[in-house]
Amino acid sequence: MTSAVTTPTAAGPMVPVPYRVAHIHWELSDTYTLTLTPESGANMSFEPGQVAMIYILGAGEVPISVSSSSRRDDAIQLTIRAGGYVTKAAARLAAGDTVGIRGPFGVPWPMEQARGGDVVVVAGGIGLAPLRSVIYEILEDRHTFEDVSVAYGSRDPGFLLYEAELHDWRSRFDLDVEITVDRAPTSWRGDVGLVTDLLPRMEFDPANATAMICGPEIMMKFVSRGLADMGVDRERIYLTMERNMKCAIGLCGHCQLGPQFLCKDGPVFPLPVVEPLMEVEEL
Amino acid sequence: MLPDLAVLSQAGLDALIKTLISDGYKVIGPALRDGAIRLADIASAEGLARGWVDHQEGGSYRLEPTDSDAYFSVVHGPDSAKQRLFPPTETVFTVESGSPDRFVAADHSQQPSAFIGLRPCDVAAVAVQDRVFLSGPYVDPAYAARRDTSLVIAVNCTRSVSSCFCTSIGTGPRAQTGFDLALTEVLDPTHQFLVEVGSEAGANLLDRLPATAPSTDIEKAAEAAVGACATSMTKHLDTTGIKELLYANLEHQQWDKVAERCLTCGNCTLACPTCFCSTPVDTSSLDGGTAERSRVWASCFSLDYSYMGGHPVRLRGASRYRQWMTHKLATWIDQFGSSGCVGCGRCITWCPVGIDLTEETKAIQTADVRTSA
Amino acid sequence: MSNDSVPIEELATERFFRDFDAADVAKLAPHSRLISYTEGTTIFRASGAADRFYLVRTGRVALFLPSLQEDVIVQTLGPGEALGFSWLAPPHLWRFSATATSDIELIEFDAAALRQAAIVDRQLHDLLMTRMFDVVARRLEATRMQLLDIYSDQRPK
Repeated sequence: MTSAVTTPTAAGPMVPVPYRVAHIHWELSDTYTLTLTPESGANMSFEPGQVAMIYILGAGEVPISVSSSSRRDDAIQLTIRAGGYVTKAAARLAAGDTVGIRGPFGVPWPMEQARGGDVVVVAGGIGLAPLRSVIYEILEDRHTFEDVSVAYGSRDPGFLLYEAELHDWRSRFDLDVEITVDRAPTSWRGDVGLVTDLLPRMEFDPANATAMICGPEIMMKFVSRGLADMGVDRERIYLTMERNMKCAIGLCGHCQLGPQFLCKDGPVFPLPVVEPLMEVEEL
Repeated sequence: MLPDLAVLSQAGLDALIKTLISDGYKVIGPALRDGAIRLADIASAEGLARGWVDHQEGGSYRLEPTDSDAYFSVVHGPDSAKQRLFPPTETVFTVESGSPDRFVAADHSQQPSAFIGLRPCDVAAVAVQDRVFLSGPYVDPAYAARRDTSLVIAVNCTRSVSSCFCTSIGTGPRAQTGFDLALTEVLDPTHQFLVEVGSEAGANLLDRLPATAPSTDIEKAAEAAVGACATSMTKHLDTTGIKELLYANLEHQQWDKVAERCLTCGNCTLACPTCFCSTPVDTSSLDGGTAERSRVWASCFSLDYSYMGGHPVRLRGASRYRQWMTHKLATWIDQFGSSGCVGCGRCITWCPVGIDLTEETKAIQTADVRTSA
Repeated sequence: MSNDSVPIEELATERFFRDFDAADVAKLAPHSRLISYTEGTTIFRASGAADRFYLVRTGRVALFLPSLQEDVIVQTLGPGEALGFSWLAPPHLWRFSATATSDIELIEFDAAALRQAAIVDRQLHDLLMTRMFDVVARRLEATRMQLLDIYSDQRPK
């Protein structure tokens, strides 16, 4: 089992470091992006797919994948859905407020392994957030990758995360971007249906592709099945798994899925490792 | 060059404890508290639960006073070293609100502890927790601080209770490693302790005590007593291929069967000397000026232990029992290189309905899906 | 619009005919033709006679149920996908409406002629049935998945 042994913060991985809220941007009615800058010292250095633990004074702490470019040295961005107590409290933050950040934690997306070949990025709903840093990284070094396809599925046209960026990416000639929704009004001129159905139309060579998938578990299951059926090597299909993370350093036990601690053995895993684990109900 | 074996008299045992105290150690040993044997701070050998004998079996723990003046006649109680090395609650950091907020790591420095009377299974359990807290990519600073300054004086077992199965796991009844000194209590013809040195710290300590050289008689008596203890054990767990067995039987009907009895109370996880799960608890002052994070013991039997999107993943008691047992006996091996179980039997004794994981394993072994039709 | 049937070699490259051998494709070719529609054209309406079967060549088709208060697109189909299954069995009436959401090119089959060909040719009948069953089964699976609304809460319901 590989583990990411990045030494996060100077005070130790259990103690947060203060970050200031520079900006809060509402992406959707229930989803917002925080832009955070370190109060002192260097910005957190991370790789796409890694997770930060954000601590809100008086509310608690939650794990959020970092969705900004890993090349930025001024700030990190966290895209958060206001679902529970902590994420709703964080939604009330204003520019200038302090939060605590611990991280980065976890095994990142296999960017180095993906270089030199085709890349398929498949995102569902808010799953686009952990993959946005992948797209940024690819665009930074675009010539080191071959054909790059991005397939995004969401609930309906009003639910598209990073909609403006999606359109920018779609208009690029060096990216093949397809978007689909589960349902739409008749004014929608795009696709309606499963994100898997977009894949056969896209411009990647299954025999030479690395796939990175993020979304609800059921979506990742049918997408990975679809990609494998198309001929993508199972060892090159990567998923990011989700369970509650508390300590994020492999000591509290909560994030276990079978023998894997999602916080240090994941959350990114190649399909063969997690496929048997996803098959067992309530594992 | 100090001898590996020595003999201490009863007075020598007392001197051992008093020397540790004067060296600045908190001495922790098995003492009678609340009708059970608990790990308590003791000031002398008289603080130990002399003559008491425990009777343990599934769902039952009874203490009986006897005429024996043995210091270590009780096998164990619900406590293990984890009570002190990985305490039930612990502060992680504090926060002072301001512009910006200040995060301050908790100070983990403390008085060194000397454990006296740890059973071989419990000594093995400390080694298991060492692997969890010290050998991963992140080291737990509080645990490390406590272990760096702790001493272990183990006591080999000369009697067992029916819950015991350390011989199946290979962790007892004689401690092989992980101790500074290991004592074997011999009652006849003279009440003495055979002492085995396990480390340089142990050797240095022994050097300052009124120890004498051992005779072959006491060595033989100690060996016989420990040997008799090993053969007295009635409970056995076949650990051959147990990881593969449990991995292959995750949908076995036995999980539903045990769920009919299991209360998901979590007693087993509290009493188990290797269980390490915890949950962070964030609290703040009324005026929001300060906040604190502490870490408290958690149990995988809690409904909210594992959740996704706010909903519990392991809804059924069967899946939670399966999580605990397969983690302890199987996935632990992949995670840490050894079993999480040390054969102490506490989970059996302290389960209110007497569920026995050796029996549950047997039920799966006899109806293994890999061999059944 | 051309009235010439689609050449067998072209039909054979369609994903729908992947498991058909050339002889079977040849049986269907005479009943096919290429047809184009501009964006916004209604291809067929729900409860109309299901007397045609289509394969999408280029462009996008939206399927919707017009009886709802607000028209909702439940599926779109793109290049390579089969449009229409209600032609296969009685009552031969469309269960939904289909509109072109872009300029499109379709291979249109005369469904009555296909059904007729299948009556006399048992092997062709079985091939068409199996292939269409696969299409319907995948659509059903997709529809169920879309029904689960998996993106709104990202949690098991």
